[in-house]
Amino acid sequence: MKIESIRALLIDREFDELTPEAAELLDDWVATDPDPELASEVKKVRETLSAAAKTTNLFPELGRPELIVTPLRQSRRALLPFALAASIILLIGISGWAGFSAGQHNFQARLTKPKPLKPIQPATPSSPWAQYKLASSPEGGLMAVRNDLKN
Amino acid sequence: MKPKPANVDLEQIFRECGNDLSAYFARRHGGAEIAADLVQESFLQLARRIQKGQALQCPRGYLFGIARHISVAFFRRNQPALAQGVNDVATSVAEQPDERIAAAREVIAALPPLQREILDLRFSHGLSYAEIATALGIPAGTVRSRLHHAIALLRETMDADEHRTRAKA
Repeated sequence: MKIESIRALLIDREFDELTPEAAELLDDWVATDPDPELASEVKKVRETLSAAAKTTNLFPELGRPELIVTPLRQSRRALLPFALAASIILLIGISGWAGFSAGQHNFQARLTKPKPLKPIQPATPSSPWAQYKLASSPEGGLMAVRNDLKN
Repeated sequence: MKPKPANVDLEQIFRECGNDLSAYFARRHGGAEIAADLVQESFLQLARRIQKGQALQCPRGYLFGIARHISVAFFRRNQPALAQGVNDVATSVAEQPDERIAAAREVIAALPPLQREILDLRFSHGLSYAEIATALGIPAGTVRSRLHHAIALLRETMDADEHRTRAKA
């Protein structure tokens, strides 16, 4: 007998779809046949049916014709662009936050520890501007006055 | 001439199938109250058909056929409210750790809706080939071949997974 036919018979037997006589014959044959392949076939059919039963019981949505059920791998693939977008947003958020906090830290540090001001260097004597200084004008405002000329 | 009501013991059918039908609706729509209402609606429709003289070769299958139509109609009426329930199911699906079951789910999810429904009626509700055929309005031979085909696909996947696991080891 072909292995496909044996498989089909075993499945029908497990589903209790064989006539009592046929079921009895099959059971006797399985029990007495020394072929280890047959025993392994029976075991595999039972395992497959058990997995199918567990799966349909666990996931009721699979049996609903009105629902479109997508395989998980497919739905995971569909989620990929969203995951990518979410990770980009997260990266931007983290780097923005890190930049902001670093800037704030620097600003506060600058406020608490003022740098010593550099003394304003007078213009070098060689500079033509060294001869001038600012003085208040009698007419109001400021005026440039030469240093080297008195009155 | 008025059709003669068929001689069917509705009470006996209710005793035999009431609980199964209740489980069928509860599994699809959740909630015992909804299930009880839909069971009542199913039996009401069955009673009407018997009254019209409908002959019942396979009462259980016939009842599941009525239940199937009521379930689809109910789902269409209450689609937004039920969407949450479906998502909840999907979440529980994603958390399943058993790789074998996850692989089996992949195979079944990829099957056509009718084949998925045949599997559900067989494995979750224990209907025979003849009862499934009556419920779905298709020949029993088609039920058998679709069921065997689905099981063969599952078997192939499981064998391939087994080989892969052995190769890794």
